[in-house]
Amino acid sequence: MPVRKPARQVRSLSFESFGVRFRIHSESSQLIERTRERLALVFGSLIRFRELRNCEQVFHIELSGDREIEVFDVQTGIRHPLEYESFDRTFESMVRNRVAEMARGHVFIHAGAVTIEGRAIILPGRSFAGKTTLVKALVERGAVYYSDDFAVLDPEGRVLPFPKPLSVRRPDGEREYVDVEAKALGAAAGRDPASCGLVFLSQYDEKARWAPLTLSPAEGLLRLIEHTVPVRTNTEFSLKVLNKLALRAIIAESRRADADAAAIKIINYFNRLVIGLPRD
Amino acid sequence: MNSSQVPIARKEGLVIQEMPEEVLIYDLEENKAFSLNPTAAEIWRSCDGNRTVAEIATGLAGSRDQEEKEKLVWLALDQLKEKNLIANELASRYAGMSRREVIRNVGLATAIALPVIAMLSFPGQTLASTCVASLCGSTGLDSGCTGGRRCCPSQANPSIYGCFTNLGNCGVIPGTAACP
Repeated sequence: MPVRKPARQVRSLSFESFGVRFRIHSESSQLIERTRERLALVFGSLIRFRELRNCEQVFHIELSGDREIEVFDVQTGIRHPLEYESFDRTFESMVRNRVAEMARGHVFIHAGAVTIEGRAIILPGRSFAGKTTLVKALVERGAVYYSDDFAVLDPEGRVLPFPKPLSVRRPDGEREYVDVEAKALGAAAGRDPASCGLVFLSQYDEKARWAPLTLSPAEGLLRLIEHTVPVRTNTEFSLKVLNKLALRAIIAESRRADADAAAIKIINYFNRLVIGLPRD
Repeated sequence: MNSSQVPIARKEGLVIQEMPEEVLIYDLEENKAFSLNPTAAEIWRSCDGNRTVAEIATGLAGSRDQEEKEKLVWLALDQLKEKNLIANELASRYAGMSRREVIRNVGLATAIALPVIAMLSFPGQTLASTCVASLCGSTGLDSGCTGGRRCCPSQANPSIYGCFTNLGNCGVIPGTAACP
């Protein structure tokens, strides 16, 4: 009599964030638990783990070889080999990017975000542009932390908190990152939607001279588009929301040198031009 | 100049955001965005298929010199046409003058700001399908990629990350050309 192979036990995890529904399958309960812990840490109250049907984002994750975990993205049909040690962080950021792209009723901008006196400052920038460093410098000077990765806009163009732990470089290694909670920096994390007072576009330049230039709403909107995640997948809605933001906020740009000095200048600029203006 | 022509603003395939004085246009077909300053926006809005270039010029505030204002309109139309924001064909532009000469003349002769159209393009829309085999996370972690490659955002679409080789700095990724 042939020996029957034991049935494979496939476990799954489903969750929803900003209206995007995910399901993750794996034969490894350890991988499922690892994924769940990381997502819970980063998304906090912005994720709901629950049994869901009809998930549009489905992933299979399995151990592959010695030091790899393979992620199969059912939607695209693509397999991603990820290193074992960094799997949690890498897969979580894949999920985060997918949420940013597909979120319903919200617009995600690649940007750091803080508030001062209830008004938001958005700091658009790509990875390695120094968003986290600048956000960290601002919260160390009393700003309320909203995000170091995405400024999330509601349909009215207000900024919602996405207070994931700040991803800061380890002091002893350029290429390693550690998670730092805002409260460990002595900062509060935002809870409520905030009207945006200032969008500040800056680019690090060691020899930069601080020379902020205010952009017109259309120029500012054009510059924001570059950092707006769903601009191609949900163009009309994205532009409508950005328009609301651009009409209320001051949009300015300047090259900047180190983050600490820039943070002081941005706060002064914000206090001078924004505080005292009507909120809507 | 042939100012009896009737320019028509293109509307199809565009998402248009009207702002108090300016206009922001997103071209869905070419994935380009344009901001029109108040002068360019006013001229673009006037390209309704009912007005000639001369009539559009007459409607502009500022200098009374009709000829200079027509040059200004042509200056805007030239840029709008070049950016595929005019739906119909237009002949003749500045009666033998170069755009630079017109800018110099018009800028001095009228009290109207020159029309300016800024553009942002998003090349490499196919990045998602050409580079997905090496997608990685968004945190810039080198360890998210195998084989010593580095995880960087694409210049064409910063929301898409890929594993790239031989890059000292993520800021230098030339869009899809860097797909491994």
